Amino acid sequence: MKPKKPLWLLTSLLFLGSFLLGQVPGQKPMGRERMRENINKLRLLRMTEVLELTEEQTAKIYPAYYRVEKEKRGIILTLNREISDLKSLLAGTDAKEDQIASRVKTIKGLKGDLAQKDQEFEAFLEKSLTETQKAKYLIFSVEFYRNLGEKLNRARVMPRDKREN
Amino acid sequence: MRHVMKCRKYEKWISDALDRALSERKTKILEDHLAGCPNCRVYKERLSMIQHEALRLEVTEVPPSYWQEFSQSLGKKLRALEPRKEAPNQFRLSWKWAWLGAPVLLIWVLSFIFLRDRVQPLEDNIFSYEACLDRLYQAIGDDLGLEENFNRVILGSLSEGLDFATIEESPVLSDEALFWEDVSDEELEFIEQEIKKETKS
Repeated sequence: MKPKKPLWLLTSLLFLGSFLLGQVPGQKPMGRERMRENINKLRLLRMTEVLELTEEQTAKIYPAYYRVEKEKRGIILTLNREISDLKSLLAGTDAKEDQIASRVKTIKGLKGDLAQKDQEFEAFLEKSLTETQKAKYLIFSVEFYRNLGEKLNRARVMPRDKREN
Repeated sequence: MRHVMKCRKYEKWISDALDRALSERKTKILEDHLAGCPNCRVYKERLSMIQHEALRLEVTEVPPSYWQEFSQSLGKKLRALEPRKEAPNQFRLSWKWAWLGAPVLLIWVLSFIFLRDRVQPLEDNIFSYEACLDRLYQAIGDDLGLEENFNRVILGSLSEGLDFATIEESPVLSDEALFWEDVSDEELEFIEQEIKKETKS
């Protein structure tokens, strides 16, 4: 028999869902956005289980995670817009070299900002975890990413939705 | 060999004798030598002939400007030789100022050490969450069907993790009073569109 999840964990995850939906006005949580949200929820859920986070730790880590994810969403929106602008610029005939260079520089900067946010969260995590939990987190990270790959392979062999065909 | 060495000495004495710069004693010794050495006698005759011809040559008058040009040309040639002579000094001079490059080198080394720890992990960190998602997005590409299926697998894992039999049994956000308070007009419009799509299919 599987152990029941504590109520605080379920509430926290429920809060995460409503937070992500409610905090970015005008942003449609479609397709990739929705997928990203679900991966985030799964990551947080698995991390909580694997690291055996206490209620106190969760109370500290979850808000930090939400904040970083919210900031990352902002960066991603800008990044998508910049990439779209760059595509239009390249499709046009009168694109100037300096305009293209400026866009590329911005995009690279945004990518760096995104990775910086990950590091920011991990630095916060380092402070909040015990030594054993830190070690578990390293292993969890690798295994979670590998697990996502396995899930993608499962998705590949699944029958396609009729609407997509 | 010894004979040749001797003759060399007498050749010089012959030249001095023709210039009348040889002592009496040496002149007598030279004459004794010449009496017994045909080579030196030939040498004396040739040298005497050359000297005689040289004395017959007219002395060319050289204008004063020639010596001025000659001195300038000589000066130029000497200056051209100067860098080769002073090259070791210049090398020493450049080392003397080399310490100026030391702070630049130090800054470069410190930047390398500092940035290596800060920047490189952003690009190469195999544990980077964003890098992982990037790889995932690349693998999915524009395949909407695969994206949808993958999303279902993730939702399945989520519902498993949360102990719901299916995702349909999971708590419905729309039942949350606070949820509707935060929904903007645009989001309401989007929800409406999605419901219409679902109803059609």
